[in-house]
Amino acid sequence: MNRYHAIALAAGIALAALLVSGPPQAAAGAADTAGGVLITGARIFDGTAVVEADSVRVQGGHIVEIGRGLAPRDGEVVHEAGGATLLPGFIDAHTHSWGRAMADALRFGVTTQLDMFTMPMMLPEQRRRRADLGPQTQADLFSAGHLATVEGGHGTQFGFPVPTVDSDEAAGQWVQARIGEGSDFIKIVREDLSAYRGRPELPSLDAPRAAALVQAAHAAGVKAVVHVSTLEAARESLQAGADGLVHVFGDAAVDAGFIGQAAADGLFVVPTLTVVAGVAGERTPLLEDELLEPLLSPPQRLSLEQRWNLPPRPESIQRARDNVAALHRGGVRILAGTDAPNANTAHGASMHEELAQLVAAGLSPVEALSAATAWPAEAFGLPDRGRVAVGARADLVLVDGQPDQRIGDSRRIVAIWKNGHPVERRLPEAR
Amino acid sequence: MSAHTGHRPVPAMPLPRLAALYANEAWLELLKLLRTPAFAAPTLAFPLAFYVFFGLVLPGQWSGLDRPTFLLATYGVFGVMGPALFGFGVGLAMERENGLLALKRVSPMPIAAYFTAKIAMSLVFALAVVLLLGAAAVWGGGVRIAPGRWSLLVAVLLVGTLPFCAMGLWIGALARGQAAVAIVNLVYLPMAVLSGLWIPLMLFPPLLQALAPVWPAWHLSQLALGVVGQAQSVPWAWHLAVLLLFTVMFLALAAARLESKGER
Repeated sequence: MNRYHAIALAAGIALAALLVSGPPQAAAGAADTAGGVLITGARIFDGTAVVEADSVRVQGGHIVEIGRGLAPRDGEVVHEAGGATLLPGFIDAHTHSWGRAMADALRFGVTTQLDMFTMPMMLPEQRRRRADLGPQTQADLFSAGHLATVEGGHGTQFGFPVPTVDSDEAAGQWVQARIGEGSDFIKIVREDLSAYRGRPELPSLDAPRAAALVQAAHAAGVKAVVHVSTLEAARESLQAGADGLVHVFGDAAVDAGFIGQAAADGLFVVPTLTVVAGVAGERTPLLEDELLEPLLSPPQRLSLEQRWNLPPRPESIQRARDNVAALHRGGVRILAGTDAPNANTAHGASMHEELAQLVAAGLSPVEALSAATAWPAEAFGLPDRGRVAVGARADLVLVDGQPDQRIGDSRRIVAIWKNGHPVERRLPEAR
Repeated sequence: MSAHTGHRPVPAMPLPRLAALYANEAWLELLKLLRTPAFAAPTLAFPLAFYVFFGLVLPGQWSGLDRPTFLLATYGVFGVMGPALFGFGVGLAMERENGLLALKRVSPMPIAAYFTAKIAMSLVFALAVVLLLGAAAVWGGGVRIAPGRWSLLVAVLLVGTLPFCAMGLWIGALARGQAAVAIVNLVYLPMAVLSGLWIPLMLFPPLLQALAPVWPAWHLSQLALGVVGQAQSVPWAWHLAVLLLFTVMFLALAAARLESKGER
């Protein structure tokens, strides 16, 4: 062996060591966003309207500049949108999220989920994650944690223990326990199945106890939303001062008195028409959607294929749609929520169906998009989300088309950014 | 330094003459390459044609990535690899076989001029490829890159030819004549594909993605992608160190081989 062989061998060994050890781990977060992103040539829907600008500059996970013809800076990733429409990432205002839910949601442009009942043990981790401005493979989560129900009531049927509210006096303590677990808001269930079966078949919180929970939530500084399926429960919730209803009722036509008071009090309604349609016997078209179907994971397919085991009631979904139209005309804030992963829905994908459902119920495409972006952010007090605005979090969706004109274009997603980082729109490997 | 090869001491050459000699050798190397259509046409045209087809003509977008910019970086790497591998690998192998190298070695020209000319021509062809791709990217793909980044991209790609020059030198030292063409093609095309230069690695099976770091071309492509902003948090120092070690290893292997053949 001569000296050249020795040099080659030494270099080879050093090379092997370098390759096996891999690259040094970069300091998390900081380095990733250093370069920033510049999106150019876009139509921009800012959360409420299409604005006079075509470029958005992102730095450190936030939008730092919006304008016309912004020039790239050194080190910036330039994404030429070619006239596609840039939207704030969607906020799904009614989900039940665990496991792969947030990853499934993000793949379809939902960058924030507002969960209405999940296992509270995951909440501290979700709080930490949503504060992180680094790259994410999942949507951020805000959650009610446990829902408020009674012994044997709706929400207790899933096989894990749920702390119930067993007296009016227990409301304050129950709310404090949720806040201790990391709940962001309080979800109250008024459900006795009378809307579906014609008579009460399930124990439920009554109006006074639900009102006590609303008061306790407000005393603790958090919002209180109510699951209702009847106009009567909705009216009682309104009188109790609830912040929002997380389903629309289809048992009766909403009246002018309710609408007037709801609009005056600022009550918001998350109709979840996609799941209400499923309950009434309609079948989601998403499994035949050529844009969305290829990106569905097995759990998403499963929940879309599942049916509600209830007799079809076309008149109730029609009433629900009419109620949404009337509430909206009367000035009540409507928010887009899916209730995924209940039967007939899927995380993320169903947001696009809900947008179409809202338009079918009488919202304009612009209003439907607002109901999925700026309006839920405002209703739930999330100031840095749901808008394309300087200072807002860079959760962005780019769609090839004009969803503010044709709502179906929301499905034509070409790029998603979470915290300013591009999101890979790929199904996870089958396991 | 071996005494038995029978070198006669050559009188020191004045610097201007030496410089003219280096320049002349480089010029002749360029003429030789230009008059070898089998070299010049594919090295210039293939990367451009592939880039135009995969980067600009084929429809489709990749989430969060700008396809014309991404492929500009990877086809840039593909483009600069060609002249380095073929110029050195095939050139040296041919000239070893037909005796031209031996002739040059007995001439008064320092043999360094021979290698310098080959490096210079690799750089010239690399620059031509990068300029062609850049023009196609700007005019055909609407690619927008800050001026400072353009210069850096050209610099990275030109310096990045060196490991492939070294690799070509080793192949040219191992094989003779047409055998080198086969070997270079066996290395060049699979390495290009498996480094994600034609189609991004994210579309490959996980095993091939995990194996990418064994290819020097992958390391250079990561640097180029980092420069044009299509890869984030690129570990520059690591890639540079890997490329430097590849260069040293191939140079040493080539030197050992040429020495054992008495051709160093």
